[in-house]
Amino acid sequence: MSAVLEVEGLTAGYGSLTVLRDIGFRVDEGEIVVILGANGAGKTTTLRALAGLVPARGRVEFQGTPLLGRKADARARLGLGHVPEGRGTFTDLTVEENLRMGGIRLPRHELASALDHAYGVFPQLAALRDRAAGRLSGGEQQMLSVARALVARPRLLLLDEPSMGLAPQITAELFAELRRINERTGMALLLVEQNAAAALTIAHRGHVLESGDLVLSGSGTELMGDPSVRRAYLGI
Amino acid sequence: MALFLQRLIDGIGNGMLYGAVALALVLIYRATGLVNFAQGEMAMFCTFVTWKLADQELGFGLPIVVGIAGGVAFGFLFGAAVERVVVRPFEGADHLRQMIVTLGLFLALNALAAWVFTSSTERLDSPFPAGSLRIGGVSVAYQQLGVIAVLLVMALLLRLLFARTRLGLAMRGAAMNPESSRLLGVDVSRMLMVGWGLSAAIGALAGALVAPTVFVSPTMMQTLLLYGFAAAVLGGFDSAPGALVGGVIVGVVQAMASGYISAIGTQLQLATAFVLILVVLMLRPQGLFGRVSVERV
Repeated sequence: MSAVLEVEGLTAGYGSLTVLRDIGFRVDEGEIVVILGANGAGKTTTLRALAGLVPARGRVEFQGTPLLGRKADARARLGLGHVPEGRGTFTDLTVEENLRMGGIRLPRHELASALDHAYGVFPQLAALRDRAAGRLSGGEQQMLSVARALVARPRLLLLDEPSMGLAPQITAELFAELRRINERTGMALLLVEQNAAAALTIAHRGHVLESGDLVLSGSGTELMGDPSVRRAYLGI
Repeated sequence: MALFLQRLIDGIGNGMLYGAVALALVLIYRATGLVNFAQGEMAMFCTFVTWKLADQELGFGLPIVVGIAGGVAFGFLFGAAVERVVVRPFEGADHLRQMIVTLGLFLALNALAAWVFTSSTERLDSPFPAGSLRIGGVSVAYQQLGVIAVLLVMALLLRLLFARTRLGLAMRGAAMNPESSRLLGVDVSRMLMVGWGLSAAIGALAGALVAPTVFVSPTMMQTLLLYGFAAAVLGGFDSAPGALVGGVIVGVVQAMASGYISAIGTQLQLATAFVLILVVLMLRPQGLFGRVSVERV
């Protein structure tokens, strides 16, 4: 398997505060990788550093191209998608306009089919297409945020706590859908989650992040069976 | 009645110009949260370019329409360059510092215009025929009608740009949520440059249209800028249609006030703008069309 993302010695933080210390991992083509961790462990910082929103040091290669030193929009144009924490919808734009923003780099003839596909995956959004995104419920905005990222057809999608604010049933549907898209298109996923149970059911591989260090790695099933993971993240 | 209609149309014509200046202010405000005090001086500088292209004696003597097109095109590039060179280094700074930068730009452009062009007052031909159209007892100058028509077309084109094109959508998105826009591959810095360019081009058009009435000089836009502020405040500083409607209301109020209240006359006209700004800020701070942002969490 060739890697879609290779991370080595990634160190990142805010000003003088170092949040991530020298972490390394990889995401292979078509793989779903989850990073588990408590609040403040550095999960969000990891994704923001990869997306170009937080300054970072180390080596990060995306499909063989070095990422560090490139601006966030340049990284997105390489095929890196990011669903940020807190959704980041365009609140005054309609649902449809939000999705069009997702497809702003797509060739015109592909945009229509990408929108149709997004509405197919999230039928609730189709009914709301002319509503301002700011007027959607939290769960609907989360769906919109994911749908918008999918319209851009990324090779690797970074997802920051996609289950946040969603009812368990919706979370399960969302994860099942992400798995289906992954299987059908080969889009790789790197998600950070507190909801370990839901995330590990779809993950091929996982890592546990504690205080800025990766302390444990393994396949989804291995992590699910690990006593410390079960205790800390699954509440069993 | 005829006099009333006369004043109404005068007010609408002037008001569209205020609205255009307000629109230029609003475009930059929406994208950056910044009030560009140099907006009027940028327009003045571009109008001098138009004058230089078109003037028979001191310029190149090109047809006035070509001169205006040249001034507007110059305005676009000039606005983009101002964003890149003067504004962007202060992108992360607080608004107070950014505001001071635009005030500095105001002074610099004022001096630069006098140095590059002239500090005296120059004439600029109108692109519209002289004389006026008589309908009933009302006579409307072709100049007024022309200004109204040109600015209506401009507003329509802008509306199409923002509502129907990818560039327009990207500009709106970048203004609303720069971080999410970057994550979708939008070059937000470039969108800001285009926004400043558009804004300066609108100002250049307004300058060229008002110049036949107020003449071309380094101070020509200062009064217009104040009316533009009044219009933007009235319409809502974040609403593009509001800017134009606000401009028309300011223009009509001004025409009626100075026409019917003899104490106001021509001397106190500017005070009506000030009073309007005060009243609006007291009664409806978000303006007529400004949005109080609604978001469910």
